[in-house]
Amino acid sequence: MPVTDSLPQTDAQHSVVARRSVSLAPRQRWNLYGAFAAGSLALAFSFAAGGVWPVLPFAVLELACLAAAFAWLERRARDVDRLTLVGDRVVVEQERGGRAIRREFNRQWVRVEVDRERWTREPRLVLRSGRDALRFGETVPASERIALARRIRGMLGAR
Amino acid sequence: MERTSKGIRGQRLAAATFAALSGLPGVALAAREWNLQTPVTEIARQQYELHTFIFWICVIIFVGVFGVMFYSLFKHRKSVGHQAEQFHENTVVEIVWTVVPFLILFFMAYPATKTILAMKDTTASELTIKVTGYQWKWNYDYLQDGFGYYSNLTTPLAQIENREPKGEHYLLEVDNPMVVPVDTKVRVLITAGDVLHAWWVPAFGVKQDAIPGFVRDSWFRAEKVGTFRGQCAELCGKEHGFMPVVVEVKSKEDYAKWAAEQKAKVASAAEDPSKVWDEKALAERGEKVFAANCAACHQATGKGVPGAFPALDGSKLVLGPTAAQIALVLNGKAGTAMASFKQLSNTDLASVITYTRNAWSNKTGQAIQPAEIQAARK
Amino acid sequence: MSSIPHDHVAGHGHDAHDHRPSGIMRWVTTTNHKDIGTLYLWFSFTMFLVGGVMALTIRAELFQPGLQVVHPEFFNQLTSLHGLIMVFGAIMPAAVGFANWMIPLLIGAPDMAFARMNNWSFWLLPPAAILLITSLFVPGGSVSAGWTMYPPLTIEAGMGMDLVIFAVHIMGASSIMGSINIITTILNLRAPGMTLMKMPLFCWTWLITAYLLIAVMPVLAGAVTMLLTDRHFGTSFFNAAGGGDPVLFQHIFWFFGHPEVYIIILPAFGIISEILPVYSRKPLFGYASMVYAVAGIAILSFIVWAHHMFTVGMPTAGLLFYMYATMLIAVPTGVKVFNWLATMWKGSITFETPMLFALGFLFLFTMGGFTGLVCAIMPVDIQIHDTYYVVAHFHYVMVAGSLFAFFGGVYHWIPKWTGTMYSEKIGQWHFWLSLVFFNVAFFPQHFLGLAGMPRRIPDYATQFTDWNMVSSIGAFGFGLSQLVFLWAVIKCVRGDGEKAPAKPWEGATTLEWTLPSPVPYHTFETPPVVK
Repeated sequence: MPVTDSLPQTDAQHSVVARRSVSLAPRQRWNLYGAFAAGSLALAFSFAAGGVWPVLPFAVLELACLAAAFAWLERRARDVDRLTLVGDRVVVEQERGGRAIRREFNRQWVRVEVDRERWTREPRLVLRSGRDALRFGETVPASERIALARRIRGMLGAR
Repeated sequence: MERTSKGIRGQRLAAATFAALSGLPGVALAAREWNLQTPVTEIARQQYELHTFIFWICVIIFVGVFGVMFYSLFKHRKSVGHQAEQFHENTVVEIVWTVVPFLILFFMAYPATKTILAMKDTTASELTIKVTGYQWKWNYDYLQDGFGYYSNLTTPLAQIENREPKGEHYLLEVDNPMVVPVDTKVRVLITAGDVLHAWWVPAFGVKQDAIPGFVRDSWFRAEKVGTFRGQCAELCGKEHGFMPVVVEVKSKEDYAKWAAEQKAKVASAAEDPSKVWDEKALAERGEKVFAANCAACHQATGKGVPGAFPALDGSKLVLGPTAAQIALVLNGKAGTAMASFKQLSNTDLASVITYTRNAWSNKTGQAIQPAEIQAARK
Repeated sequence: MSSIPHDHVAGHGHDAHDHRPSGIMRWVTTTNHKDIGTLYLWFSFTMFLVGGVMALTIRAELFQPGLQVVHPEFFNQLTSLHGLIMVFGAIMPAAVGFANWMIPLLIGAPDMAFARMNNWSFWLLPPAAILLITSLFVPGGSVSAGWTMYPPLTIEAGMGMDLVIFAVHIMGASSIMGSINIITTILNLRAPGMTLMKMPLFCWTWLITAYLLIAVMPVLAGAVTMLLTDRHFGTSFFNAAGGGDPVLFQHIFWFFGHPEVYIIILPAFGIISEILPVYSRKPLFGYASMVYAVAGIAILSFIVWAHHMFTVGMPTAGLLFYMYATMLIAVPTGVKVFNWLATMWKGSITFETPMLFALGFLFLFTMGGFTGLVCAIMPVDIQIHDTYYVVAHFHYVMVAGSLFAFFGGVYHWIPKWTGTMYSEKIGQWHFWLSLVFFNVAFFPQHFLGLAGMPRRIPDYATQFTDWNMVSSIGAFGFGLSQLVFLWAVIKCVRGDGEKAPAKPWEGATTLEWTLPSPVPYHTFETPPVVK
């Protein structure tokens, strides 16, 4: 059951939903992968049958990379972050690769922090309340996270 | 023949038009080479006509298509106030311009197929010559008559290095051309001794890669007496541009005479392998062998090319034990440009090794005898 | 995914203080598709100049018969590296640069699907380029057997060859990562409503190109690996003495190499298909048939490779098959050319620099297509194979084809990239100089080839002198003309010029023109909805 259904629907003022943009259904995805893999493997095996086996390991390696990429997309396709204000509580629900996470914070105590990814210096959001911390908004492009932080701060601050 | 000459003229005209269009500044156009060389075999003539035929089809389509484009560019400009229409498909038109090219291709493929079938028909040949490409010379082996020889570039280095004016057949002249009789179906078996080469005589319409370890064939029937020149057409290393193919077509009588001479030479040149030579005679002969086979890399000075080809002058190997040098020259060195030279005669190898051991600053005073080479061969 | 994801948080632009590292680290660490696109394009232009200097050295040597400028062994290294650098260092990265910049903008995506991998796939290229260039200076020099690396020459070659093999592997890995990224971006990150058959054609051509890359890159990797094991580990794939076959390499190489030809040209087709409708103020004619034609060309590219090897001595049936299959390529290619003409027909045409390059492309690429047809006729190919005719043919399709399309693309989109209009005057000069000098350089090479001048030779017989002189003059003119291009681009980058509006081209309809110029560092914070 999608986590977004577990709370009463609230208006945009009290809720933030961050979801990935996805334009490919899972079935399409694996059909396409099948098309890629069939082509490459057919070539590689034909070569191998003719004695040219060194093509095969490269084809397998490459298809493994492509499979990993598709699997990564698949796992993240349904990821969603949702933050809802329910009175004084801040309810955060996340879905990560089919796993649901639910955390609650006290509205008075929670802070939205922005730190930087070490290598790319991309902004990442952290919801922090005392020692309790939770990453938020990884489902949206790095480009949108600052705006997201600002929006959440606005919501938390508004009475 | 008449169709051909008309074709040539027509094509020159077209080529001149194109050249003028492409904006060549004041080049005297008449004396330039424009087109395929004048064919002297049936196959080359078919290739020539095929090329002319396809060339004109392409020109007509080109003019038609770009006539339409330039009309459109001219008439449908914004600056003349043309309003854009918004159509973006028309099934009938799209089907037409898919099917029509198909038909045109069919008309091109038909004569091409006929020529291919003729080209591949090497049966009923009257003379077979085995052609072997080496870095960087050709070997012609007259299999039925039992003689053969190497064909080396004769253009002097001074001409290549611009120290002397270039001769008429600059880079297209050899010491011993291939000789064939006129009006005779000659089958050539083509292979290579080291790397890829390609044996090409434009006037005959023959180009065949020479592949080490594999023998491929082609054929020609020259219709005219004369000398015809081509070049190696597959990159084969440093001197790729310096291994021409020259074929002399003789009348049948002249050819018979020439072939008889060659056979006689072979008989008289059959050498006694146990004959003992003195160092001077060997070194003298060795210098010629060196110039023809070794100097391209190791240089006439024996200094080689630093980083690419080792020097022989002062080389440890050359001054060291003879067995090692003989083995190297006979077998080559894997992984380097040093090829095997076992195709040379014992006497040639003995003389060239003797030469390297006594030329430049190398003064071993040793003479290597043909018998030693024979013994080293397995 | 029936509902439109309204999820992306409505943005108010990004933080005022920029969250990018500054200086060189910005470029090393960037995961932004625009930065990476820019890196690819500058890398490509740098390699274009490096390969260009090699070409000019070649043309200087060939200006007159005799040896004047370089030694034959160095000449062979120049021709070989010129080919490798132009194909793998200049043209392919330029195409990937356009993909990086434009695909997210054209499909309404915020960035590429795998931003970090995107960074890696670019930063693999400079080391590969350094390896290629370093190979010139190691003992024995670089690869001298042509960009095609045919054995047995490449098996005998010195350690420079190992560096080249390594560089090819690295560039292959980069291409694969790039393709995976492009495929996933196009498939997964399209804006709501942007169905596959609504995508701008550039995205289609790149999707198919990426498929070709995925299919054939392992083949290239396998081929050069076999060269390596033959060289050092005692295998005999290509060594006749050990039971191998030198021609086998040619089959494998060209099985990669022919699709590679289309990898080079298809993105150019895509760019032309974006440019022509804009300056004709008319939608692209026959969109669907364009997509099918590209797919058709891609499929045919797998069954025609042996037309590069008509002289190796194939059986008759093989010759006929490869000849017919090759001729068939003329059909989908013809469809594309006709569609482009029909796009312009009854439009309202203006002649800005991008349009000029597109028209130059159309005219000269078609000429290259026709000489390709001539080469496809096997009996004729026997005469022109490995001659300057072939050199002229593939420069018509790769320089006047791909490169002209890329120039057109740069002029078309540079207002969007930099926020500054290019100087129309400089652009027009660049076009006309390139057009004239290109033809002066390469048209005479048709004559040279027909008359019998082999390619890859440092010196030639005297009857070829005049056309070689003309060709060399053209080559130098063409080379220098590219400095005009550099000038035009630098002016835009420095903001020296008219400020570009969001939509500088009247006929533009695609998504990127809905964004301000220059495009904000982060685009499409809210995905656009395509109706």
